[in-house]
Amino acid sequence: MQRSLIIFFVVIVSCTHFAQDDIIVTEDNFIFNLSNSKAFRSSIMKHFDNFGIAYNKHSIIVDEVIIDKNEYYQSILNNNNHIEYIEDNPNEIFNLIYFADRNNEEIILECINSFLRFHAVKKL
Amino acid sequence: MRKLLNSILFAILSTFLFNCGGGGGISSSGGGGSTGSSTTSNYGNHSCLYSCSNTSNSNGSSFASGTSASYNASLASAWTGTKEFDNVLYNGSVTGVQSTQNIYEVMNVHKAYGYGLSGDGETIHIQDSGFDWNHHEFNGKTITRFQSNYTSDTSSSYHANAVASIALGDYNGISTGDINSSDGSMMGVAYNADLYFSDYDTIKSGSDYAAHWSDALDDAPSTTAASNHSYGVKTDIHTVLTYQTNNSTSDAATIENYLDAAGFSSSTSEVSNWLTSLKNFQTNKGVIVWAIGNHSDDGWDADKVHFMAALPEIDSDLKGAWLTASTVDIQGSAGSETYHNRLGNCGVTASYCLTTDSYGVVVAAHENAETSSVDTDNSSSYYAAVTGNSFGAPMISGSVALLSEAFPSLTPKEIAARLLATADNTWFTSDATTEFSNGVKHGFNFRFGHGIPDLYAALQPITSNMLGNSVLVGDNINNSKAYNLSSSGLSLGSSFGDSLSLGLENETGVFYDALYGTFKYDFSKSANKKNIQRNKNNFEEPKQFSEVSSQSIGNVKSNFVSSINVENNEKFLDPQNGFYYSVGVNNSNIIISNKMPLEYVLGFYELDNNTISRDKHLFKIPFIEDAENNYSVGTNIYNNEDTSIALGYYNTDNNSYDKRGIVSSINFSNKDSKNSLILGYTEEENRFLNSDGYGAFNINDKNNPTNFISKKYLKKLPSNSEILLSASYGFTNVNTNANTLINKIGPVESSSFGINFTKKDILNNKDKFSFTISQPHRVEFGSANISIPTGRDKSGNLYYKNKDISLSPSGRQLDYSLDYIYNFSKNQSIKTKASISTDYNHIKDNDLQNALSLMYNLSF
Repeated sequence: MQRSLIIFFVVIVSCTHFAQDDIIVTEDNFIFNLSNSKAFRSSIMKHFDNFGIAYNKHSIIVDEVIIDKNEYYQSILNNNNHIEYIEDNPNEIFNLIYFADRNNEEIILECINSFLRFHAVKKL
Repeated sequence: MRKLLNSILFAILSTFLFNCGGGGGISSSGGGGSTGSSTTSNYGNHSCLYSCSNTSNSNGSSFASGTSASYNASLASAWTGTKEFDNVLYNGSVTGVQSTQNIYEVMNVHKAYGYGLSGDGETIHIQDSGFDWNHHEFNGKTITRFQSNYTSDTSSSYHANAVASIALGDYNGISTGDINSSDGSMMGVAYNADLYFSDYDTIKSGSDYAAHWSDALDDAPSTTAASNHSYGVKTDIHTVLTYQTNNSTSDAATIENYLDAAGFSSSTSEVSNWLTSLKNFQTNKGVIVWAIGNHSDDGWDADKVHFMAALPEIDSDLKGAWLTASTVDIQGSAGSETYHNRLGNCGVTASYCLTTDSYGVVVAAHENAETSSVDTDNSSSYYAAVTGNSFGAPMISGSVALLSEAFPSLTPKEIAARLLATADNTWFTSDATTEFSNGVKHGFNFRFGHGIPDLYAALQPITSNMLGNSVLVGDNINNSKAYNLSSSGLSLGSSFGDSLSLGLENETGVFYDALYGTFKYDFSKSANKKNIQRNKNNFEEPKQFSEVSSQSIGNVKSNFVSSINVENNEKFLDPQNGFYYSVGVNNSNIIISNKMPLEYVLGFYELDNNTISRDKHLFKIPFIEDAENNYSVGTNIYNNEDTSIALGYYNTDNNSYDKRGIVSSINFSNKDSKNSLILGYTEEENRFLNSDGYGAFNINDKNNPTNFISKKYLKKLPSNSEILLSASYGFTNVNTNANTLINKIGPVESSSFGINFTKKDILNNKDKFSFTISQPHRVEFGSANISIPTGRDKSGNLYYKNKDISLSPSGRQLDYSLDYIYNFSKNQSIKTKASISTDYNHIKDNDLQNALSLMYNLSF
């Protein structure tokens, strides 16, 4: 009985995980490539294609990581302002993901969801 | 400084417009010549299953149960000249197109104001983002915020302000300038409605968006009439439906899948709760209004509809109180306009879609808050011109609030139906029709849905041949009996005078249209009184009778009396107009008659100079029918020189009612006096005391009995004089029908009496003088209990006010008359008659009725 519970716990934890070092698979099996900004942008557009979410590929902008601004982005992450920051600066998402703790999947997913909402949700 | 910022704002307008929508579009020819899809129409192509009848409120008074205000056309017209009203129309061009018609005026919003409507007491839920409750357009309103951590406005992001200002922006009444002037402002459709705000993008707590939206709906004030959503996920509804079909997923799981994909992370269970909250809101609070996608957006096209706007296509239980909003660009002046579809089609939501011209409208922009208080003097609030379906949705939400104010007892589903069924769709060809309750149908089009909301039409009664303007009787709409309003009334006999009119004075009733909208009307109009036909009787040509046959064979006697007629100076028998035949042995006889008063048949009074014209009120027993279609049989079971006993039966058979009765009379007479007593029992079918009920007041198939007693006393006096006293008194019971507005009538007690003094041979033996005082039949005691319809609730339960009404009239008519007849010769006479009546028709202090006649009679 105790063994069964442990196995179940493992399954839950592994719902959202990095399949490889740079690939994140969400609970809903959404797959995003975090290896670099271009790969991330491609995975976002593929995600939109998979779910019929209309977009203009020229509007999906993911800036390259600016290594020198490490402390700046760390500050945003540490202050838990990453969601609001992406709402105002969506093209800087990969900087936040890059400097985030890869083990803190919650923050990474919040960044991705904020980015998804910015492009998938429309004020009409 | 503020003007400078305004200038900057307008300078960047084109960019904003592009972001919100705009762009070219599919042109649809319009104008008055466009064909409609439906058959006969009342408003637009609003039609009925069979055929429509006039929807105007011919019953006068006010339109709805929520207010007693009547329509004020001058007030409505004045609103169109109000600066804040006018400012909603952007007076510049949008991508080269300039609108010339104010959409508020096209929607007849000003006419709703003409009814006194403003959204007062109503709340509109705006779920959006980019909000500042300090904006001048929200001044003086009760603003409830679901959360304190919402996304505030900025100089470039103020979508919630813009949407809310169209729905409920305040009317300050002092703005005289254009929108970019220092005192310029605009106003919302429901300008007195309050605001309940929640943020769709920033959740209050936790991480589940569906839970957040569900809680926001559940917490909406009970006064919330509409929940406005001017945003959406850019996934077409067809994509979502295809996914559900292919994967056999539940509604909640399907929706959750696409919410998660758009970054609105939610659990299936919370999506299920959200769907429940949406349904509960529709049942208990208001209408969901959702903008369809702008087809100019990235990767979007005109035939797609955001799946969130089209949720009823996934969960059909959401249909009913759910409206979607699209945009039509109206170009040209009224009467020569053309209509252009620019921001997408209603598509799969067409059957519950409305369209407005939100292409180039002025809205509230950001508020440059330097303090945390409301900008009461409009010094730090800004405005912008925008376009997009986002701003059509709040026009509809505001319209819902106005209708909810007018019809507070209608369900959200019924409010939505009124807007759809009365929208102006005369300018396009319909693809199909939506059928509402009681056969009301309305055509819609794939592009424009049901058309442009017409608030004035929505405030009028909507009828069909299946259900016209009706009085509903019963506990609930669903099991009620409907009576045609114009055919419902109680027409009381003359003996009731003004009793019912007084009893129902100032009473307001409620009638219903085919969509169960409630409308007030003057309930006292349900009472119609019949006038006493006294003067006519005084001067009408008397019916003459002649005894044409009287035979005796032994102790068997027969007698035949017939009406006579005069044509070309020749008299001839006219038994079809009345006859009497008796045959008897010794002191008994049997009598049959037709069209003759039973009182005469039984010897209660005699013919006077071969006529029965002698003052009817004095001698007529009011409980015995004297209609033309009666017949009677009688028998004198005992008759000697001074005493007679008679029994009689009569029956009157009319198209609308039957009346029958049995009477007995006993007469005592000697050379100086005659004393008569009649006891009787009558039954009236479908009426009582000559009163008729129709429709909701019917007394069909009921027998209403009256027991009565009548007394006559004739005393001969010296000097060729006589005095005659006559009186009748009756007790009437009335049996009423279930499912009518009459709960109880009676018992009713009524009377009549008369006194007559006659003297002959005054000047010589050729003249006669008489003086008469009489009281026509009058109700003395009795009451009725009437149900006055007062309205319904959202569950369809019907309510009434039960009122006891005295049936005794306010006055007592007394007729005084003087008659003088002088016979010059056998064939020449002169007759004079003077009469006066007080409290005419038993109405206290009614004008005196006087009559004077002088008649010369020559027979040859």
